[in-house]
Amino acid sequence: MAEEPGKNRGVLLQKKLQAIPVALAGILLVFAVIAQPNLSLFTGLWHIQLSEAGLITDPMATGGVGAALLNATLVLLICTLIIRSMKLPFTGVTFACLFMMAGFALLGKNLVNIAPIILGGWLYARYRREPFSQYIYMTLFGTCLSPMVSFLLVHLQPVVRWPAMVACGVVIGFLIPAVARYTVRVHQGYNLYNVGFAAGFLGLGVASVLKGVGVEFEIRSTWSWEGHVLLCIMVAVILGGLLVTGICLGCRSWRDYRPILRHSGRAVADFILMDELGPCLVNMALAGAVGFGYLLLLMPLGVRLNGPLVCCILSMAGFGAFGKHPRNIVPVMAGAVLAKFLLVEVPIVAPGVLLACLLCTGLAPISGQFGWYWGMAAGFLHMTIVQNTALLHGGMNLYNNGFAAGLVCVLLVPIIEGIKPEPKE
Amino acid sequence: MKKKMHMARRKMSHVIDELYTALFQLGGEEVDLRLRKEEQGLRLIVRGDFSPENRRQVERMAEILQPAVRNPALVETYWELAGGDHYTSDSELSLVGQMLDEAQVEILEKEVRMDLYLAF
Repeated sequence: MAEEPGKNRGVLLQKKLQAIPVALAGILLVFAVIAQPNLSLFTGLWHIQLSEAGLITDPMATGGVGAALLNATLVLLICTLIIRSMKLPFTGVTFACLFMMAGFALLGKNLVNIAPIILGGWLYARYRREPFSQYIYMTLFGTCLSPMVSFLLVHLQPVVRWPAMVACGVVIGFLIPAVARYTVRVHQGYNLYNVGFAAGFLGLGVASVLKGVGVEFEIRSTWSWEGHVLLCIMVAVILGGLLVTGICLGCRSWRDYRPILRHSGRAVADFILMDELGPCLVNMALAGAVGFGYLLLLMPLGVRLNGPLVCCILSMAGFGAFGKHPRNIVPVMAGAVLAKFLLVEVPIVAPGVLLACLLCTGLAPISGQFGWYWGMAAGFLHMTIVQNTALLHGGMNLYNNGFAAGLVCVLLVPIIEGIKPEPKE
Repeated sequence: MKKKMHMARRKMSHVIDELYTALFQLGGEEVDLRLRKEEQGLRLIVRGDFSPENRRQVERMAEILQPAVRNPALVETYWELAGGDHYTSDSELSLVGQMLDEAQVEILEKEVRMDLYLAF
Protein backbone atom coordinates (compact mmCIF):
# COMPACT_ATOMS: atom_id res chain seq x y z
CA MET A 1 0.00 0.00 0.00
CA ALA A 2 1.39 3.37 -0.97
CA GLU A 3 -0.73 5.26 1.58
CA GLU A 4 1.81 6.58 4.11
CA PRO A 5 2.55 9.98 2.47
CA GLY A 6 -1.16 10.37 1.84
CA LYS A 7 -1.87 9.65 5.51
CA ASN A 8 0.52 12.38 6.70
CA ARG A 9 -1.09 14.83 4.35
CA GLY A 10 -4.47 13.67 5.58
CA VAL A 11 -3.57 14.34 9.22
CA LEU A 12 -2.41 17.88 8.43
CA LEU A 13 -5.52 18.51 6.39
CA GLN A 14 -7.75 17.25 9.19
CA LYS A 15 -6.28 19.75 11.65
CA LYS A 16 -7.07 22.62 9.29
CA LEU A 17 -10.55 21.27 8.60
CA GLN A 18 -11.45 20.89 12.26
CA ALA A 19 -10.50 24.49 12.95
CA ILE A 20 -13.09 25.85 10.50
CA PRO A 21 -16.32 25.00 12.41
CA VAL A 22 -14.68 26.25 15.60
CA ALA A 23 -13.81 29.52 13.85
CA LEU A 24 -17.40 29.79 12.62
CA ALA A 25 -18.66 29.26 16.17
CA GLY A 26 -16.26 31.98 17.32
CA ILE A 27 -17.64 34.46 14.79
CA LEU A 28 -21.24 33.65 15.75
CA LEU A 29 -20.39 34.10 19.43
CA VAL A 30 -18.68 37.47 18.90
CA PHE A 31 -21.67 38.81 16.98
CA ALA A 32 -24.04 37.37 19.60
CA VAL A 33 -22.31 39.41 22.29
CA ILE A 34 -22.22 42.52 20.09
CA ALA A 35 -25.96 42.19 19.38
CA GLN A 36 -27.02 41.69 23.01
CA PRO A 37 -24.23 42.75 25.36
CA ASN A 38 -26.27 42.20 28.53
CA LEU A 39 -28.10 39.55 30.54
CA SER A 40 -30.94 39.42 28.02
CA LEU A 41 -28.59 37.28 25.94
CA PHE A 42 -29.10 34.41 28.40
CA THR A 43 -32.77 35.00 29.16
CA GLY A 44 -33.38 35.13 25.40
CA LEU A 45 -31.50 31.87 24.96
CA TRP A 46 -33.72 30.30 27.64
CA HIS A 47 -36.88 31.51 25.86
CA ILE A 48 -35.65 30.04 22.58
CA GLN A 49 -35.12 26.62 24.20
CA LEU A 50 -38.68 26.50 25.50
CA SER A 51 -40.61 28.03 22.63
CA GLU A 52 -42.20 26.76 19.43
CA ALA A 53 -39.94 26.03 16.49
CA GLY A 54 -42.12 25.08 13.50
CA LEU A 55 -42.03 26.69 10.06
CA ILE A 56 -41.41 29.57 9.91
CA THR A 57 -40.36 30.61 13.41
CA ASP A 58 -37.49 33.05 13.76
CA PRO A 59 -35.64 32.63 17.09
CA MET A 60 -34.37 36.17 16.65
CA ALA A 61 -37.96 37.32 17.18
CA THR A 62 -38.32 35.02 20.21
CA GLY A 63 -35.15 35.71 22.15
CA GLY A 64 -33.33 38.45 20.30
CA VAL A 65 -30.64 38.51 17.63
CA GLY A 66 -27.80 37.80 20.05
CA ALA A 67 -29.60 34.95 21.81
CA ALA A 68 -30.37 33.25 18.49
CA LEU A 69 -26.72 33.55 17.47
CA LEU A 70 -25.66 32.16 20.85
CA ASN A 71 -28.05 29.25 20.30
CA ALA A 72 -26.42 28.63 16.90
CA THR A 73 -22.96 28.79 18.49
CA LEU A 74 -23.84 26.20 21.13
CA VAL A 75 -25.57 23.85 18.67
CA LEU A 76 -22.60 24.08 16.31
CA LEU A 77 -20.03 23.50 19.06
CA ILE A 78 -21.85 20.52 20.51
CA CYS A 79 -22.28 18.88 17.09
CA THR A 80 -18.62 19.53 16.25
CA LEU A 81 -17.63 18.00 19.55
CA ILE A 82 -19.79 14.92 18.93
CA ILE A 83 -18.23 14.35 15.50
CA ARG A 84 -14.70 14.95 16.80
CA SER A 85 -15.23 12.61 19.73
CA MET A 86 -16.09 9.85 17.25
CA LYS A 87 -12.76 10.40 15.52
CA LEU A 88 -14.53 10.75 12.19
CA PRO A 89 -12.58 12.58 9.50
CA PHE A 90 -13.88 16.01 8.55
CA THR A 91 -14.86 16.00 4.89
CA GLY A 92 -17.33 17.91 2.72
CA VAL A 93 -20.36 16.18 4.20
CA THR A 94 -19.20 17.17 7.69
CA PHE A 95 -19.11 20.82 6.65
CA ALA A 96 -22.52 20.54 5.01
CA CYS A 97 -23.90 18.98 8.20
CA LEU A 98 -22.31 21.44 10.63
CA PHE A 99 -23.21 24.53 8.62
CA MET A 100 -26.78 23.23 8.38
CA MET A 101 -26.86 22.66 12.15
CA ALA A 102 -25.60 26.19 12.82
CA GLY A 103 -27.92 27.64 10.18
CA PHE A 104 -31.05 25.84 11.30
CA ALA A 105 -30.36 26.81 14.90
CA LEU A 106 -31.47 30.18 13.50
CA LEU A 107 -34.68 28.60 12.21
CA GLY A 108 -35.95 26.26 14.90
CA LYS A 109 -33.29 23.88 16.19
CA ASN A 110 -32.15 24.34 19.75
CA LEU A 111 -30.34 22.38 22.43
CA VAL A 112 -33.52 21.03 24.02
CA ASN A 113 -35.34 19.90 20.89
CA ILE A 114 -32.39 18.20 19.15
CA ALA A 115 -31.23 16.21 22.20
CA PRO A 116 -34.00 13.52 22.18
CA ILE A 117 -33.52 12.97 18.44
CA ILE A 118 -29.78 12.45 18.89
CA LEU A 119 -30.60 10.01 21.70
CA GLY A 120 -32.91 8.15 19.31
CA GLY A 121 -30.13 7.90 16.71
CA TRP A 122 -27.78 6.53 19.35
CA LEU A 123 -30.35 3.94 20.40
CA TYR A 124 -30.79 2.88 16.78
CA ALA A 125 -27.03 2.33 16.47
CA ARG A 126 -27.09 0.26 19.69
CA TYR A 127 -30.01 -1.74 18.35
CA ARG A 128 -28.12 -2.42 15.12
CA ARG A 129 -24.94 -3.19 17.09
CA GLU A 130 -23.00 -0.75 14.99
CA PRO A 131 -21.01 2.35 15.94
CA PHE A 132 -23.10 5.48 16.36
CA SER A 133 -20.53 7.25 14.20
CA GLN A 134 -22.00 5.51 11.13
CA TYR A 135 -25.34 7.20 11.70
CA ILE A 136 -24.24 10.53 13.04
CA TYR A 137 -24.86 12.59 9.89
CA MET A 138 -28.28 11.07 9.32
CA THR A 139 -29.12 11.68 12.98
CA LEU A 140 -27.91 15.28 13.00
CA PHE A 141 -29.71 16.06 9.75
CA GLY A 142 -32.71 14.25 11.24
CA THR A 143 -33.00 16.95 13.89
CA CYS A 144 -34.92 18.86 11.22
CA LEU A 145 -38.00 17.29 12.84
CA SER A 146 -37.15 18.97 16.14
CA PRO A 147 -40.16 21.35 15.93
CA MET A 148 -42.33 18.36 16.72
CA VAL A 149 -40.42 17.92 19.98
CA SER A 150 -40.82 21.61 20.79
CA PHE A 151 -44.49 21.54 19.91
CA LEU A 152 -45.19 18.83 22.46
CA LEU A 153 -43.10 20.65 25.04
CA VAL A 154 -45.07 23.87 24.58
CA HIS A 155 -48.60 22.56 24.11
CA LEU A 156 -49.04 19.47 26.30
CA GLN A 157 -50.06 19.41 29.94
CA PRO A 158 -47.11 19.89 32.36
CA VAL A 159 -47.36 16.31 33.65
CA VAL A 160 -46.87 14.63 30.29
CA ARG A 161 -44.95 17.20 28.27
CA TRP A 162 -41.39 16.08 29.12
CA PRO A 163 -41.95 12.33 28.68
CA ALA A 164 -43.95 12.98 25.51
CA MET A 165 -41.32 15.18 23.93
CA VAL A 166 -38.51 12.77 24.78
CA ALA A 167 -40.51 9.82 23.42
CA CYS A 168 -41.36 11.69 20.22
CA GLY A 169 -37.74 12.75 19.66
CA VAL A 170 -36.40 9.27 20.35
CA VAL A 171 -38.87 7.71 17.89
CA ILE A 172 -37.85 10.23 15.21
CA GLY A 173 -34.12 9.69 15.82
CA PHE A 174 -34.57 5.93 15.86
CA LEU A 175 -36.47 5.79 12.59
CA ILE A 176 -34.80 8.46 10.49
CA PRO A 177 -31.63 6.52 9.49
CA ALA A 178 -33.65 3.65 8.04
CA VAL A 179 -35.97 5.97 6.11
CA ALA A 180 -33.10 8.15 4.88
CA ARG A 181 -31.17 5.17 3.58
CA TYR A 182 -34.23 4.19 1.58
CA THR A 183 -35.04 7.63 0.17
CA VAL A 184 -31.53 8.10 -1.19
CA ARG A 185 -32.36 5.35 -3.70
CA VAL A 186 -35.59 7.09 -4.68
CA HIS A 187 -34.02 10.37 -5.80
CA GLN A 188 -30.72 8.76 -6.87
CA GLY A 189 -28.58 11.48 -5.33
CA TYR A 190 -30.19 14.37 -7.23
CA ASN A 191 -31.59 15.89 -4.03
CA LEU A 192 -28.80 17.11 -1.76
CA TYR A 193 -31.21 17.37 1.18
CA ASN A 194 -31.87 13.65 1.37
CA VAL A 195 -32.75 13.59 5.07
CA GLY A 196 -35.19 16.45 4.45
CA PHE A 197 -36.97 14.18 1.97
CA ALA A 198 -36.98 11.29 4.45
CA ALA A 199 -38.07 13.57 7.29
CA GLY A 200 -40.98 14.80 5.16
CA PHE A 201 -42.39 11.28 5.02
CA LEU A 202 -41.60 10.51 8.63
CA GLY A 203 -43.06 13.86 9.67
CA LEU A 204 -46.18 13.08 7.67
CA GLY A 205 -46.52 9.78 9.53
CA VAL A 206 -45.86 11.12 13.01
CA ALA A 207 -47.99 14.24 12.48
CA SER A 208 -50.86 12.10 11.20
CA VAL A 209 -50.70 9.84 14.25
CA LEU A 210 -50.57 12.84 16.57
CA LYS A 211 -53.48 14.46 14.74
CA GLY A 212 -55.33 11.18 15.14
CA VAL A 213 -55.03 11.42 18.93
CA GLY A 214 -56.25 14.99 18.92
CA VAL A 215 -53.11 17.10 18.61
CA GLU A 216 -53.72 20.07 16.31
CA PHE A 217 -50.64 21.66 14.77
CA GLU A 218 -50.97 25.42 14.74
CA ILE A 219 -47.78 27.43 14.52
CA ARG A 220 -47.59 31.15 15.04
CA SER A 221 -45.05 32.24 12.41
CA THR A 222 -42.55 34.87 13.46
CA TRP A 223 -40.20 36.87 11.28
CA SER A 224 -37.66 39.31 12.69
CA TRP A 225 -36.62 42.59 11.07
CA GLU A 226 -34.02 43.47 13.68
CA GLY A 227 -30.25 43.38 13.38
CA HIS A 228 -30.11 43.56 9.59
CA VAL A 229 -26.88 45.56 9.32
CA LEU A 230 -25.12 43.49 11.97
CA LEU A 231 -26.18 40.25 10.26
CA CYS A 232 -25.00 41.57 6.88
CA ILE A 233 -21.59 42.29 8.42
CA MET A 234 -21.51 38.86 10.05
CA VAL A 235 -22.37 37.04 6.82
CA ALA A 236 -19.75 39.09 4.97
CA VAL A 237 -17.16 38.17 7.62
CA ILE A 238 -18.03 34.45 7.39
CA LEU A 239 -18.01 34.33 3.59
CA GLY A 240 -14.96 36.60 3.39
CA GLY A 241 -13.18 34.40 5.92
CA LEU A 242 -13.88 31.29 3.87
CA LEU A 243 -12.70 33.05 0.71
CA VAL A 244 -9.46 34.36 2.21
CA THR A 245 -8.68 31.03 3.89
CA GLY A 246 -9.30 29.24 0.61
CA ILE A 247 -6.98 31.61 -1.23
CA CYS A 248 -4.29 31.20 1.45
CA LEU A 249 -4.62 27.42 1.17
CA GLY A 250 -3.79 27.41 -2.51
CA CYS A 251 -6.76 28.54 -4.60
CA ARG A 252 -5.04 31.53 -6.16
CA SER A 253 -6.32 31.47 -9.72
CA TRP A 254 -9.25 30.51 -11.90
CA ARG A 255 -7.24 27.45 -12.93
CA ASP A 256 -7.10 26.28 -9.32
CA TYR A 257 -10.81 26.80 -8.78
CA ARG A 258 -12.17 25.57 -12.12
CA PRO A 259 -12.01 21.77 -11.38
CA ILE A 260 -14.80 22.18 -8.80
CA LEU A 261 -17.16 23.33 -11.55
CA ARG A 262 -16.75 20.12 -13.56
CA HIS A 263 -18.65 18.13 -10.93
CA SER A 264 -22.35 17.64 -11.46
CA GLY A 265 -22.83 17.90 -7.71
CA ARG A 266 -24.80 14.70 -7.59
CA ALA A 267 -24.31 12.93 -4.27
CA VAL A 268 -21.71 11.94 -3.31
CA ALA A 269 -19.79 14.99 -4.53
CA ASP A 270 -17.57 15.56 -1.52
CA PHE A 271 -15.33 18.34 -2.79
CA ILE A 272 -12.83 17.95 0.05
CA LEU A 273 -12.28 14.30 -0.86
CA MET A 274 -12.20 14.90 -4.60
CA ASP A 275 -10.40 18.26 -4.81
CA GLU A 276 -8.12 20.39 -2.71
CA LEU A 277 -9.23 22.21 0.43
CA GLY A 278 -8.43 25.69 -0.92
CA PRO A 279 -10.79 25.56 -3.93
CA CYS A 280 -13.43 23.93 -1.76
CA LEU A 281 -13.42 26.81 0.74
CA VAL A 282 -13.51 29.37 -2.08
CA ASN A 283 -16.48 27.48 -3.50
CA MET A 284 -18.25 27.54 -0.14
CA ALA A 285 -17.78 31.30 -0.04
CA LEU A 286 -19.07 31.70 -3.60
CA ALA A 287 -22.08 29.41 -3.09
CA GLY A 288 -23.03 31.40 0.01
CA ALA A 289 -22.38 34.65 -1.83
CA VAL A 290 -24.89 33.72 -4.53
CA GLY A 291 -27.59 33.50 -1.84
CA PHE A 292 -26.39 36.62 -0.05
CA GLY A 293 -26.22 38.54 -3.34
CA TYR A 294 -29.78 37.51 -4.21
CA LEU A 295 -31.05 38.83 -0.88
CA LEU A 296 -29.09 42.08 -1.27
CA LEU A 297 -30.70 42.54 -4.69
CA LEU A 298 -34.13 42.29 -3.05
CA MET A 299 -33.27 44.76 -0.31
CA PRO A 300 -35.00 47.68 -2.08
CA LEU A 301 -38.21 45.61 -1.89
CA GLY A 302 -37.90 45.45 1.90
CA VAL A 303 -35.96 42.25 2.49
CA ARG A 304 -33.96 42.34 5.72
CA LEU A 305 -31.62 39.63 6.93
CA ASN A 306 -32.87 37.61 9.90
CA GLY A 307 -32.49 34.12 11.36
CA PRO A 308 -34.15 32.10 8.57
CA LEU A 309 -32.36 34.00 5.81
CA VAL A 310 -28.94 33.69 7.45
CA CYS A 311 -29.81 30.01 7.85
CA CYS A 312 -30.28 29.69 4.08
CA ILE A 313 -26.96 31.42 3.36
CA LEU A 314 -25.11 29.15 5.81
CA SER A 315 -26.78 26.09 4.28
CA MET A 316 -25.74 27.13 0.80
CA ALA A 317 -22.18 27.78 1.99
CA GLY A 318 -22.05 24.43 3.80
CA PHE A 319 -23.21 22.49 0.76
CA GLY A 320 -20.55 24.36 -1.20
CA ALA A 321 -18.36 21.55 0.15
CA PHE A 322 -20.82 18.84 -0.85
CA GLY A 323 -22.32 19.35 -4.27
CA LYS A 324 -23.25 22.97 -4.82
CA HIS A 325 -21.30 25.45 -6.89
CA PRO A 326 -22.41 28.64 -8.64
CA ARG A 327 -22.70 26.90 -11.99
CA ASN A 328 -25.25 24.35 -10.82
CA ILE A 329 -27.21 26.49 -8.35
CA VAL A 330 -27.88 29.61 -10.45
CA PRO A 331 -30.10 27.86 -13.06
CA VAL A 332 -32.20 26.24 -10.33
CA MET A 333 -32.66 29.55 -8.54
CA ALA A 334 -33.52 31.21 -11.86
CA GLY A 335 -36.22 28.60 -12.46
CA ALA A 336 -37.67 29.19 -8.99
CA VAL A 337 -37.75 32.96 -9.49
CA LEU A 338 -39.36 32.50 -12.91
CA ALA A 339 -42.06 30.31 -11.35
CA LYS A 340 -42.67 32.96 -8.76
CA PHE A 341 -43.30 35.59 -11.43
CA LEU A 342 -45.48 33.36 -13.58
CA LEU A 343 -47.45 31.26 -11.18
CA VAL A 344 -47.28 31.90 -7.50
CA GLU A 345 -49.74 34.33 -6.06
CA VAL A 346 -47.60 35.57 -3.19
CA PRO A 347 -44.99 38.35 -3.13
CA ILE A 348 -41.41 37.47 -4.00
CA VAL A 349 -40.39 38.83 -0.62
CA ALA A 350 -42.79 36.58 1.30
CA PRO A 351 -40.86 34.47 3.84
CA GLY A 352 -41.71 31.08 2.31
CA VAL A 353 -40.85 32.25 -1.18
CA LEU A 354 -37.50 33.67 -0.08
CA LEU A 355 -36.60 30.39 1.60
CA ALA A 356 -37.71 28.39 -1.44
CA CYS A 357 -35.64 30.52 -3.83
CA LEU A 358 -32.52 29.88 -1.75
CA LEU A 359 -33.09 26.28 -0.66
CA CYS A 360 -34.29 24.99 -4.03
CA THR A 361 -30.55 24.74 -4.67
CA GLY A 362 -30.76 21.27 -3.13
CA LEU A 363 -31.71 20.34 -6.70
CA ALA A 364 -28.43 21.68 -8.09
CA PRO A 365 -27.28 18.19 -9.20
CA ILE A 366 -30.08 18.08 -11.80
CA SER A 367 -28.63 21.19 -13.38
CA GLY A 368 -25.08 19.81 -13.12
CA GLN A 369 -25.92 16.43 -14.59
CA PHE A 370 -28.50 17.22 -17.27
CA GLY A 371 -27.91 20.88 -18.16
CA TRP A 372 -29.01 24.35 -17.06
CA TYR A 373 -32.42 24.10 -18.77
CA TRP A 374 -33.37 21.03 -16.74
CA GLY A 375 -32.04 22.83 -13.69
CA MET A 376 -34.42 25.68 -14.40
CA ALA A 377 -37.28 23.24 -14.87
CA ALA A 378 -36.44 21.68 -11.50
CA GLY A 379 -36.39 25.08 -9.78
CA PHE A 380 -39.67 26.01 -11.44
CA LEU A 381 -41.35 22.82 -10.29
CA HIS A 382 -39.86 23.13 -6.82
CA MET A 383 -41.35 26.57 -6.28
CA THR A 384 -44.82 25.30 -7.11
CA ILE A 385 -44.61 22.06 -5.10
CA VAL A 386 -43.04 23.54 -1.98
CA GLN A 387 -46.07 25.78 -1.44
CA ASN A 388 -48.12 22.70 -0.60
CA THR A 389 -45.80 20.34 1.25
CA ALA A 390 -45.70 22.02 4.68
CA LEU A 391 -49.38 21.17 5.14
CA LEU A 392 -48.56 17.46 5.03
CA HIS A 393 -46.30 17.49 8.09
CA GLY A 394 -47.94 20.44 9.82
CA GLY A 395 -44.88 22.66 9.31
CA MET A 396 -42.90 20.34 11.58
CA ASN A 397 -40.11 19.51 9.09
CA LEU A 398 -37.58 22.33 8.98
CA TYR A 399 -36.19 20.86 5.74
CA ASN A 400 -39.51 21.30 3.98
CA ASN A 401 -37.59 22.39 0.89
CA GLY A 402 -35.66 19.12 1.02
CA PHE A 403 -38.96 17.23 1.10
CA ALA A 404 -40.27 19.19 -1.87
CA ALA A 405 -36.97 18.75 -3.72
CA GLY A 406 -37.24 14.99 -3.29
CA LEU A 407 -40.74 15.03 -4.77
CA VAL A 408 -39.45 17.10 -7.69
CA CYS A 409 -36.79 14.44 -8.31
CA VAL A 410 -39.34 11.63 -8.23
CA LEU A 411 -41.34 13.47 -10.87
CA LEU A 412 -38.62 15.00 -13.01
CA VAL A 413 -35.65 12.60 -13.09
CA PRO A 414 -37.52 9.69 -14.75
CA ILE A 415 -38.92 12.11 -17.34
CA ILE A 416 -35.44 13.49 -18.10
CA GLU A 417 -33.93 10.02 -18.34
CA GLY A 418 -36.78 8.92 -20.57
CA ILE A 419 -36.26 11.83 -22.94
CA LYS A 420 -32.49 12.17 -23.00
CA PRO A 421 -30.39 9.81 -25.12
CA GLU A 422 -28.34 7.25 -23.18
CA PRO A 423 -24.76 8.33 -22.41
CA LYS A 424 -22.05 7.20 -24.83
CA GLU A 425 -19.92 4.18 -23.87
CA MET B 1 -17.60 -4.13 15.79
CA LYS B 2 -17.90 -6.36 12.74
CA LYS B 3 -19.76 -5.32 9.66
CA LYS B 4 -22.38 -7.81 8.67
CA MET B 5 -21.41 -10.20 5.91
CA HIS B 6 -24.52 -9.78 3.81
CA MET B 7 -24.07 -6.02 3.87
CA ALA B 8 -20.48 -6.41 2.64
CA ARG B 9 -21.74 -8.60 -0.20
CA ARG B 10 -24.32 -6.00 -1.21
CA LYS B 11 -21.73 -3.26 -1.08
CA MET B 12 -19.30 -5.29 -3.17
CA SER B 13 -21.91 -5.77 -5.89
CA HIS B 14 -22.22 -1.98 -6.11
CA VAL B 15 -18.43 -1.64 -6.26
CA ILE B 16 -18.23 -4.17 -9.11
CA ASP B 17 -21.04 -2.46 -11.00
CA GLU B 18 -19.36 0.92 -10.77
CA LEU B 19 -15.88 -0.31 -11.66
CA TYR B 20 -16.65 -2.28 -14.77
CA THR B 21 -18.87 0.52 -16.07
CA ALA B 22 -16.04 2.99 -15.49
CA LEU B 23 -13.45 0.77 -17.18
CA PHE B 24 -15.62 0.26 -20.26
CA GLN B 25 -16.18 4.00 -20.44
CA LEU B 26 -12.40 4.45 -20.42
CA GLY B 27 -12.15 2.41 -23.61
CA GLY B 28 -11.67 -1.02 -22.07
CA GLU B 29 -12.48 -4.11 -24.14
CA GLU B 30 -12.09 -6.72 -21.44
CA VAL B 31 -12.41 -6.64 -17.67
CA ASP B 32 -11.37 -9.60 -15.49
CA LEU B 33 -12.97 -9.68 -12.07
CA ARG B 34 -12.03 -12.22 -9.40
CA LEU B 35 -13.84 -12.17 -6.09
CA ARG B 36 -12.55 -14.07 -3.08
CA LYS B 37 -14.19 -14.55 0.29
CA GLU B 38 -11.58 -14.26 3.03
CA GLU B 39 -11.81 -14.70 6.77
CA GLN B 40 -12.47 -11.03 7.54
CA GLY B 41 -13.85 -9.72 4.28
CA LEU B 42 -14.15 -9.84 0.51
CA ARG B 43 -11.21 -9.29 -1.85
CA LEU B 44 -11.77 -8.17 -5.42
CA ILE B 45 -8.99 -8.49 -7.97
CA VAL B 46 -9.64 -6.46 -11.11
CA ARG B 47 -7.64 -6.42 -14.33
CA GLY B 48 -8.77 -4.31 -17.24
CA ASP B 49 -7.40 -2.57 -20.30
CA PHE B 50 -8.02 1.05 -21.28
CA SER B 51 -7.42 3.38 -24.20
CA PRO B 52 -4.05 5.14 -23.91
CA GLU B 53 -5.71 8.54 -24.48
CA ASN B 54 -7.67 7.95 -21.26
CA ARG B 55 -4.55 7.42 -19.15
CA ARG B 56 -5.10 10.62 -17.18
CA GLN B 57 -8.60 9.56 -16.19
CA VAL B 58 -7.28 6.16 -15.11
CA GLU B 59 -4.66 7.89 -12.96
CA ARG B 60 -7.42 10.03 -11.46
CA MET B 61 -9.43 6.88 -10.82
CA ALA B 62 -6.47 5.30 -9.02
CA GLU B 63 -6.10 8.41 -6.91
CA ILE B 64 -9.71 8.51 -5.75
CA LEU B 65 -9.87 4.78 -5.09
CA GLN B 66 -7.00 5.26 -2.62
CA PRO B 67 -8.11 8.30 -0.62
CA ALA B 68 -6.05 9.78 2.20
CA VAL B 69 -9.03 9.54 4.57
CA ARG B 70 -12.11 7.38 4.62
CA ASN B 71 -15.36 8.58 6.18
CA PRO B 72 -17.50 5.61 7.35
CA ALA B 73 -20.46 7.86 8.15
CA LEU B 74 -20.51 9.12 4.59
CA VAL B 75 -20.47 5.53 3.31
CA GLU B 76 -23.31 4.43 5.57
CA THR B 77 -25.50 7.26 4.30
CA TYR B 78 -24.84 7.02 0.59
CA TRP B 79 -23.33 3.66 -0.41
CA GLU B 80 -26.43 2.53 -2.28
CA LEU B 81 -25.82 5.27 -4.84
CA ALA B 82 -22.70 3.54 -6.19
CA GLY B 83 -23.39 1.63 -9.42
CA GLY B 84 -26.88 0.80 -10.51
CA ASP B 85 -27.23 3.49 -13.19
CA HIS B 86 -25.49 4.41 -16.42
CA TYR B 87 -23.73 7.52 -15.13
CA THR B 88 -20.21 7.15 -13.84
CA SER B 89 -18.40 10.17 -12.51
CA ASP B 90 -15.65 11.14 -10.12
CA SER B 91 -18.21 11.38 -7.36
CA GLU B 92 -19.42 7.79 -7.70
CA LEU B 93 -15.88 6.45 -7.98
CA SER B 94 -14.99 8.52 -4.96
CA LEU B 95 -17.84 6.85 -3.11
CA VAL B 96 -16.43 3.45 -4.12
CA GLY B 97 -13.04 4.58 -2.78
CA GLN B 98 -14.72 5.46 0.49
CA MET B 99 -16.56 2.14 0.68
CA LEU B 100 -13.38 0.06 0.39
CA ASP B 101 -11.26 -0.68 3.42
CA GLU B 102 -8.07 -1.17 1.43
CA ALA B 103 -7.17 -0.48 -2.18
CA GLN B 104 -4.07 -0.92 -4.27
CA VAL B 105 -4.11 0.25 -7.87
CA GLU B 106 -1.30 -0.31 -10.33
CA ILE B 107 -1.31 1.30 -13.76
CA LEU B 108 0.67 -0.36 -16.54
CA GLU B 109 1.03 0.79 -20.15
CA LYS B 110 -2.42 -0.26 -21.33
CA GLU B 111 -3.71 -2.12 -18.33
CA VAL B 112 -4.85 -1.34 -14.81
CA ARG B 113 -4.70 -3.81 -11.93
CA MET B 114 -6.58 -3.39 -8.72
CA ASP B 115 -6.54 -5.22 -5.43
CA LEU B 116 -9.56 -4.08 -3.45
CA TYR B 117 -10.67 -5.23 -0.02
CA LEU B 118 -13.97 -4.76 1.76
CA ALA B 119 -14.15 -5.95 5.38
CA PHE B 120 -17.22 -7.64 6.84
